[in-house]
Amino acid sequence: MTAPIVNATTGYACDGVKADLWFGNDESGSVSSSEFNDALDFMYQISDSFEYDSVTGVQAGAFAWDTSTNDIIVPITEDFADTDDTGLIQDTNVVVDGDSKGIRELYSSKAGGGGTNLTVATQHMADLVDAGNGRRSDVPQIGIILTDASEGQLTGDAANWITAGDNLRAAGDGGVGIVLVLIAEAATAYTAGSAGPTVDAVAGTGGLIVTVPTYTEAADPAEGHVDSVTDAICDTIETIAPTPVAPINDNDNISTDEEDSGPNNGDGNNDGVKDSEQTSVTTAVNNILGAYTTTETSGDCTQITDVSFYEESSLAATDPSYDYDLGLHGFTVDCSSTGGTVDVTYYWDKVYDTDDWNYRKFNASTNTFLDFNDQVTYGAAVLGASTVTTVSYSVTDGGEFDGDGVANGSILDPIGPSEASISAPNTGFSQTTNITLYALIGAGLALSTVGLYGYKKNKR
Amino acid sequence: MATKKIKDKNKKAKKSYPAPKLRKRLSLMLVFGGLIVIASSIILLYIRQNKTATITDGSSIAAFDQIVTENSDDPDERKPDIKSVIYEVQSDAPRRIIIPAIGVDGFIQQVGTTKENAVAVPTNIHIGGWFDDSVKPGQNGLSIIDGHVSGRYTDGIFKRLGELKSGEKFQIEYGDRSTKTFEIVENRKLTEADSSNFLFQKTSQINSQLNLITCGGNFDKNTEEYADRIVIVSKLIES
Repeated sequence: MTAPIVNATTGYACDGVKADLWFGNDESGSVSSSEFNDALDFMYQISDSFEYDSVTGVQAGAFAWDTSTNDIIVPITEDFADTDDTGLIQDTNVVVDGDSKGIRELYSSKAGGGGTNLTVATQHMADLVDAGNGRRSDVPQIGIILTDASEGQLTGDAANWITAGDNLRAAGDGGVGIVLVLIAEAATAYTAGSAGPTVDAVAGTGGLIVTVPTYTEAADPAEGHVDSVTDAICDTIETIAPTPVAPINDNDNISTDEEDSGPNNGDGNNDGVKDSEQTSVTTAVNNILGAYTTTETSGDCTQITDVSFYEESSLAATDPSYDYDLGLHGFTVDCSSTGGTVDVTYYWDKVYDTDDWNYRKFNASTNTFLDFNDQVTYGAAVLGASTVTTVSYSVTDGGEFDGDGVANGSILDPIGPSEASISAPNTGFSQTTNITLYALIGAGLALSTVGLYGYKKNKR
Repeated sequence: MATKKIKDKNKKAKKSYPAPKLRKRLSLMLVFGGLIVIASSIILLYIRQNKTATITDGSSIAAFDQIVTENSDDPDERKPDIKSVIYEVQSDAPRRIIIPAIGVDGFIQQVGTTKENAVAVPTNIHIGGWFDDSVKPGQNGLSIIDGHVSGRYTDGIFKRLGELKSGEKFQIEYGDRSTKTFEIVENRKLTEADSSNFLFQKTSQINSQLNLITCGGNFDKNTEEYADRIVIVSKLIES
């Protein structure tokens, strides 16, 4: 066996996801003590691949099963991997910190030993999820059932097992994604036997099946099965519960999390109120700059409904004589009445030299760019420890500079600093003047005269 | 003692004169050298005279209706005679620029962008170039006309552009012979590096803006370019 994984410190699996993982470990008599230890090592390495955090990350718990069920061994609220505990049992190098947490300390001995009843195991998992047991709301729930069941055990009670699978997929407040890890006989029964349809039906839509030849190989990180199951868990999380959209407090289409992560502790215009709590102020990541910028509106139109950033090339037309290296920034704002005017201040991410800036506006209704530089006022604002460039201007609903060109109670505003992309002409040459030529003629005459005088003198 | 010194000096001085034959030869070389300089200058004057002759034949400027996208190292320096040369453009295109204050009266041709990504200049130093990526003069938006400050032998159409003052007026004549009058708002001298942003900057206080541009400042023989640019900002005041 190669060196074991010891607590991942870099690069967690599907980093940033939230999920509750429910392991159901087969402790039937066919699983030997050695295989049981391999199963523990297997689960330990899988769990070690995730970042455990009861608020922002993964939770995991485990129960054992055979023909009956053993109650929860590791509660889901525990730090399943417990980064202070390390090592694989098969290498006899397990080190624990003695805090009675995590799979290394809580799940050390085989409790079962009876027959194999997958229907009971699956239904029990559904019941545990339904009952709560530390399950978090609005967090994907994943059930991982490990088994070495024979073909007969996989297919013998097919209808009930499938029903239990249905129940598990419907359990809790958002259902459970199923990952079936078929080891040894179970893998063969699935890949070469007749268990395929039953197993597929239990896993159901969005579920995944991983086959592993032996428990020994399962526990060996070099065999890649740990990664396979980890990937299957991530895929199932993504399939059954795409990353939930973060809540938006102020209807500006930018999540509260994003706004709160902005400069000055989420107060990008330094008005003392978080931007996520104001309809008239929006802080968002300008993907062209890779930095936060803030849009502040006042006047007749203060409900920002969208903030966007554009490369010039993404617009319906490009500006032939200008470049927009910093892109264009835009928003849509609703007005209290048609024909209203919005006063805008845009807070850049840092201080820029605006001397060469030439603000221009893209009109989406005519696909043309308009000069806007005289309409904007450049300034600076102090945000905490930083100073940033500001640009202030006004736009009237339905006016020349309203991107939708219509007085409809909504103002569209793609705008940005440009610089001329074409050089000024070179219109001159080094000039040979008449005076120069006349001077040369004079010089030639003088030379000739002197020469002639000298020639005559020496002739004598 | 003093007498001897003077004698020695004379002796030395006599020795420093070349031999009579050599002096004769040097004198002849001076004569011929002078004649060569005179002949070369007369030839250059003749070339210059031809290069800067007045064009009275309409066919000579037939290429004016082409969009210029390449700058010539040897632009035409013959001045088209406005009265006798036949020059037609589209009815709404600029045909002629007349700036009485600096004695400008020249045709206008279309110029585009060179492969070096600069505004091209006219093929003749006595005519202006309307940049075809700008609006036509008098339309809403920014229009740009450039012109030579000089050729290799004589002054270009915009030689005196820098003398213009705010409030002075000039006219653009169009293909249909209608004219529009523009008033100068600003005369700005900028470095070459700063000039393009200013040239392409339209002020929103002017609906129909026409910027004129030419070179200014010192000529750098290494870069073969003038150091500065003169930009005249003007506005339409009369149609």
